[in-house]
Amino acid sequence: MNPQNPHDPPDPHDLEHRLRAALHMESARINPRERRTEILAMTRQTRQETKSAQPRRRWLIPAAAAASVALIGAAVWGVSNAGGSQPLTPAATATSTPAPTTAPTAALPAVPPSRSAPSGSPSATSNGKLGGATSQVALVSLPAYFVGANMPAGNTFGLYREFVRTAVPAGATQARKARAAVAIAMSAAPFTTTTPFLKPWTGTSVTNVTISPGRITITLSGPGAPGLTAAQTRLAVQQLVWTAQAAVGQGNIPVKFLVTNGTVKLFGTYPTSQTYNRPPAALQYEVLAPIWVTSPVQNQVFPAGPVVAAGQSCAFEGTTAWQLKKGGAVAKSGSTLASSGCPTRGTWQVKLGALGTGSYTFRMYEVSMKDGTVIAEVSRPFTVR
Amino acid sequence: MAEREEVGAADGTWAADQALTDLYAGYWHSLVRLSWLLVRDQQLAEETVQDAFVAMHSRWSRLRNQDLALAYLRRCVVNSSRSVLRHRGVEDRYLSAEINALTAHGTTEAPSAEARALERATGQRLLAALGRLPRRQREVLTLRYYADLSEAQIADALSISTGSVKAHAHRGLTALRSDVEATR
Repeated sequence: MNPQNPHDPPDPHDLEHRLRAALHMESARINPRERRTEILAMTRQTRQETKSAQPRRRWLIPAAAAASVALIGAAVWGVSNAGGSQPLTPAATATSTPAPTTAPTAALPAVPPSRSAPSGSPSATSNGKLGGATSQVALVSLPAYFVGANMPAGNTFGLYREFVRTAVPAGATQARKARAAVAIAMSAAPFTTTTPFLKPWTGTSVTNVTISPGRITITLSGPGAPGLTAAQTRLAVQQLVWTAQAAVGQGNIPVKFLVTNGTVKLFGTYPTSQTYNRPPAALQYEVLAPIWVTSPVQNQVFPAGPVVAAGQSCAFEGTTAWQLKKGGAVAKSGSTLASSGCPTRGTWQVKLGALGTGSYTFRMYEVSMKDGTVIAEVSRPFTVR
Repeated sequence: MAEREEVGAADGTWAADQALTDLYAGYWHSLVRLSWLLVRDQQLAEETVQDAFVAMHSRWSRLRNQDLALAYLRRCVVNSSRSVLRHRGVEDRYLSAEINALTAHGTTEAPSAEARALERATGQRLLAALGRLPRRQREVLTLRYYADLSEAQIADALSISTGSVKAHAHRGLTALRSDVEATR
């Protein structure tokens, strides 16, 4: 708008200089969040899956295409029908009896247990593409949030995020992946590694997920299971919001629900006429479980040598305590300081040192400053060999 | 034999972990920002680069060299960013929203100081013009002027010839110049 300005030089070097400056200034507007812990956890998971898939690889190659097609059918059937095919469980399975969550259930015959590669699937790279160019399925790690107890014997719950490896058709759209992630989150077993856990969506399945600019729409077959408390149903809705948003990967865009049977309120409480979103950062402690252990993952196998545990917490002054147990006895213990104290969620790391071969359990817990009781706890078994 | 393989695997794992740690420390931020410049979505950018690091780690036994690993990371990031744009319809939003001040996630930094406002406005006009360029030209110019890559490195990242890099850069700059001149 300044035609009288003859001084802007058409000099290409000047343009290049300005473009460089503009790009650098523009890029400085974002502040990338730290994801080192997540990356390391995913590499360990991928490594384990690669190892476990190796012996099957040779004989699979000749039948790769057929196996892939079968895998799509099996995995997709299992996931998408998980919610609907399971019996309604009173009290939403909030039992305090620890259940082995790594064992496949009868209701999900073709779905792998959490953190395991689908049976017979070749190893995959992290972006989910199978080795062969003509493969018809891709293995992807999908983020799913589960409603788990804040401690083994507790009756308070929070969301736990887990990356679940699953098969989707090669070239699946983001909406298709989001649907798979939501189905995994809704089925809970056998994917979550937290016990006890809730299955608030028993009797309901996800029938579709669509993504439009600024909105994710999740279509459900029903309104969710009855008999849950208000706190639990809130988490159930948040569980799907967090899962869908994470799987879609376009930020905290509002989530709308549709129920195919015409129900207008999820759990009889949450109107489908409105959209839902994650709470603001300062209030996320109301939704997320106080302690996450992102490494080791459940039943992880480490080579002999140094082991580092890592995770997130929202604890008073960021302080949590930990124990390393071997054979039931406490081998090491200490406390750690997260990068932030509650209400801001922080990350923590514990260097466990060089460990000899054997089976271990890493336990991270928070002790109440008020009365010394344990108010949050996560345990993770792992092996060194 | 089995023991030797186990030791070898442990060594390889250690080297891959170490490479990942080093490359993360050195390049995580710049790669996320590079991806963000291409897709304009911070969460997508972080996930794209996160996946690239995981993929690099799994390929470390073939890379075994930080320079090669970094080149691999760049290829992953550029390809995945392109794929994201293509598959998620972000491109349209990029084109229409490149002048918007903030991304939707509330994770951007605070607005710059007033003293830089004018410079930013000029830069935004340039970035808007960049956003109107064909994808390949936009990628070449972003890699050249943000990541400061050589023509050979850009060719490698985009899997095209250096001649094509030169051509895209020339056409892109020419178009930018006329676009900016036209909107002045």
